[in-house]
Amino acid sequence: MEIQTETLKEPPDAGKKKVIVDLVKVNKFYGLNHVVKNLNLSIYEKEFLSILGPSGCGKTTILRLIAGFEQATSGEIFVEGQNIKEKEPFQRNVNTVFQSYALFPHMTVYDNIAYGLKMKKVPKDEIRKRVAKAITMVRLEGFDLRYPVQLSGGQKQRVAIARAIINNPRVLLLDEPLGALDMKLRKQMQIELKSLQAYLGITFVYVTHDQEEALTMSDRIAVMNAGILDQCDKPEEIYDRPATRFIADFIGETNLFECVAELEKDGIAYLYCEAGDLLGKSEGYDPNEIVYVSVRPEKMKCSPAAVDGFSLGGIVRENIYLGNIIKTIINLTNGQAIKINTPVGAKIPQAGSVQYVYWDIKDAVMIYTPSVNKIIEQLSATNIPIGQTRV
Amino acid sequence: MGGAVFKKKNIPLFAMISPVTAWLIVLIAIPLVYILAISFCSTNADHNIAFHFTLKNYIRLFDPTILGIYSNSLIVSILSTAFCILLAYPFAYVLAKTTPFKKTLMMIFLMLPFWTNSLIRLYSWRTLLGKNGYINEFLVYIGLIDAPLEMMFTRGAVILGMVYTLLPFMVLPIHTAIDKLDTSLIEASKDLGANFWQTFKNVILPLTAPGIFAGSIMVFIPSLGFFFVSDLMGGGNNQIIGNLISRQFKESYNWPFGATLSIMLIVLTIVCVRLYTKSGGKLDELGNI
Ligand SMILES: Nc1ncnc2c1ncn2[C@@H]1O[C@H](COP(=O)(O)OP(=O)(O)OP(=O)(O)O)[C@@H](O)[C@H]1O
Ligand SMILES: [Mg+2]
Repeated sequence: MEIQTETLKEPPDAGKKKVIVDLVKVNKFYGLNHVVKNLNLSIYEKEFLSILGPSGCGKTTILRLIAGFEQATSGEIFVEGQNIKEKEPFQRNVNTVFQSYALFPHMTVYDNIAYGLKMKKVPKDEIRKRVAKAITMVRLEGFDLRYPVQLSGGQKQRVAIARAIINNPRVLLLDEPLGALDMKLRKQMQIELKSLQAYLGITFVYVTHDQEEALTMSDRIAVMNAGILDQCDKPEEIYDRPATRFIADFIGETNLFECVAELEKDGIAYLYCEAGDLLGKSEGYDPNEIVYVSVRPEKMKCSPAAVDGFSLGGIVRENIYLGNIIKTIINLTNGQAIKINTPVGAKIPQAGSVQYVYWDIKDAVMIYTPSVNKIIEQLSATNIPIGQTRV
Repeated sequence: MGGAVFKKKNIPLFAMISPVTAWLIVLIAIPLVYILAISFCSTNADHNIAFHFTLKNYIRLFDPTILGIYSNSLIVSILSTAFCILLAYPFAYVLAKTTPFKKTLMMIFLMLPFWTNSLIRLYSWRTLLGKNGYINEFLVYIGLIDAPLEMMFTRGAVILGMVYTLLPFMVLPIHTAIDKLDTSLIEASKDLGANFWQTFKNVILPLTAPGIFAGSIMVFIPSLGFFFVSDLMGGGNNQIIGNLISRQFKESYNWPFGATLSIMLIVLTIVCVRLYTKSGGKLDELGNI
C-alpha cells in the first residue's frame, strides 16, 4: 500500500516537534468490514489536529483506538512513546470529549467535573480547588449544583470539556464536539476551544465532518476517505494542493477535469478532456497518462472567444447572486457544469450567451493519478476490492 | 355525570368502553368493596357472616401467632427478593451486552420453564431435595454426610421455590434498565480513570437502580401471597401471609378475618408501590416488562 505513505508530507518543522501519539500501520476490522486501512499518522505535541472525512469513513474508530476503547486488528499505537497495549486506560494521559457529551445524568455539574479526581482519590481540598478552576475556565460559575438535564446544549458541552481536562491530560480527543450546536454557538465555541487549547498547551485531536471548521481551527488536517488517510497537512496545503481527486472534490468547491496528457513544453502541460483542450502545470507526465485538473471557482475565468490552448466552450445557464459574489454556471458541451465566482460589480457574462472557460496556468491544481494499469497492479497486491479505491 | 356527556356522538364511545367498565365494576370494584365491608364483620356459629360492625378482626392482627406468620412471611419475601437481585443482575447485564443471537438464546432458557405448570416444576424439586432425593443420595454415596439432610420443608426451601418461580420478574426490569444505559457513560467513566468496580458503583448501579426497584416490587409482593409455593416447599410449617388468607377462606371458613388479611396485603402493596413512585420509579415500567 505504498500509495498512501507517499502522500504523507511531514511538516517542515517536524524535526523540532515531539511526537506524542504515533499510529503505525494500524488496521481495524469490524468482522469483514475493513474500517481503518493501514493508517500511519504521527500527532505532535501541542498541535491541533483535525480528522476530517465524510460520515462512516472511520473517524470515530480512530479516536476510539487511541482512547483504548477499541483494539486495533493489527499495527501499533504509541502514546508518549509507550505502546498503549501495555497501559490501562487510566494510566494514560489521554481524555475524551464524547460526541453525545456522555455526562452522568445522576450527578451535578460539580460531581461530573470532579469525577476523574475522585476516582484517583485526590484529597477533597484539592478537588474543590481544581474543580473551581475548571469551572471558571469554561465559564460555568454558578452552575455547580445543576444536573445535566437542567443545562443547555452549549453548557453541557462546557461541562464535558471541563470534566475531560480536569485530569490534566496531554492529549484531548474530541469527537464532533460541536455537532449538536446551532451555527452561532458553534462559531463561538470554535474560538473558545481554540484558545483553550493554546492556554492548556496540550494536543487536541478533533474529529469533524465540517470542512470549514477543520480549515479554520486546525494546525494540520488529516483527511480520511473510506478508511484511508489521503493527506495530512496544513489547511492551506490541503486547500491549495489536494493530494487526491477525493480531497479536491471534498474540500471546498471546485471544477474538476478528468484529462489525458498529450505533451509537455516549457513547463506547460497540454491536456485534453471530454469537453476539449486545456492547459496545466507540467509535472513530468507521460503521454496518455490520466491526470486530474482542479480549478477553484474563484480562479475560473471566461471569455466570448477561445483563449490559446483552451477549447472549453459552453452556454451560460444562469447567474446566481450570493451576497458578495455572483456564481455563474456554464454548461460545457459534454454537460459538465462549470462554476465561476465573480465579485459583485465585476463584469459577468449574460445568461444564454456562448462562453469559453480558461484559467491562469498557476491556478490549475494538478492531481496525478497512477495509470489504470498501475492501480490494478496495486489493488491485486493489497487485496482492496476495486470499488473502494481512492483514486 | 352531566347530561352533556350523553350526546349522540358519544354513543359509539360508550358502546366501546362500557363492557370493560362493567367488567371492572362487577369483577373488581364490587368484590373489593364487599371484602372491605366484611372485614368489619364477624361470623356466627354456622360460619356465616354476621353483618354487624366490629373491629375484632383488626385487633386479631396483633395476635402473636398472626404476627409470627407475618414476620416469617416478610423474612421469606425479603430474602427471596435479595437472592433474586443477586442472581438476576449479572444475568441481565450479560443479556443486555451480548450479541442478538445469544440474547435470544438466553431469553429462551429463561422463559422455557414457564411453559410448564409451576406446580409441576415445584414438585420436581422434591425429587432433588427430598429425604430420598438425588442430592441426598449423592452426598451419602460420596460419604460427605452419614444421614440424609432435611432440605425440603424448611424456610430455605420456601425461599428457593420463590426465587425459582419469580426470577424472570426480576431479570426483565433490570435488563430493561441496563439496556437503556448509554454505553458511552461507562466509557466516560473508564476514560476518567475509574476501574470496573468504581464504574459499577458510581455509574452503572445508580443508573440501573430503578430497574432493581421495579423488579423488587414484582418479586416482593407476589412472594407474600404465593401460598402454593410455601405449601409445596414448606410443607405447612413455613406459613406465609398467602397461606393464612387461603386458610381463612378454605378451612376455617372465617371470611371476615380473611378479608381483613387481604386488606392488609393490599395496603402493603400500595405502600410498596408508593415508595417506588416516590423514589422516581415509573408505573409504566412495572407493567412494561
Ligand atoms: N461497533 C461496531 N461494529 C461494527 N461496525 C462498526 C462499529 N462501529 C463502527 N462500525 C462501522 O465502521 C465504519 C466507520 O465508523 P465510524 O463510527 O468510525 O465512522 P465516522 O467516520 O465516525 O462517521 P460519522 O461521521 O458518521 O460519525 C462504519 O462503516 C460503521 O458502520
Ligand atoms: Mg463518528
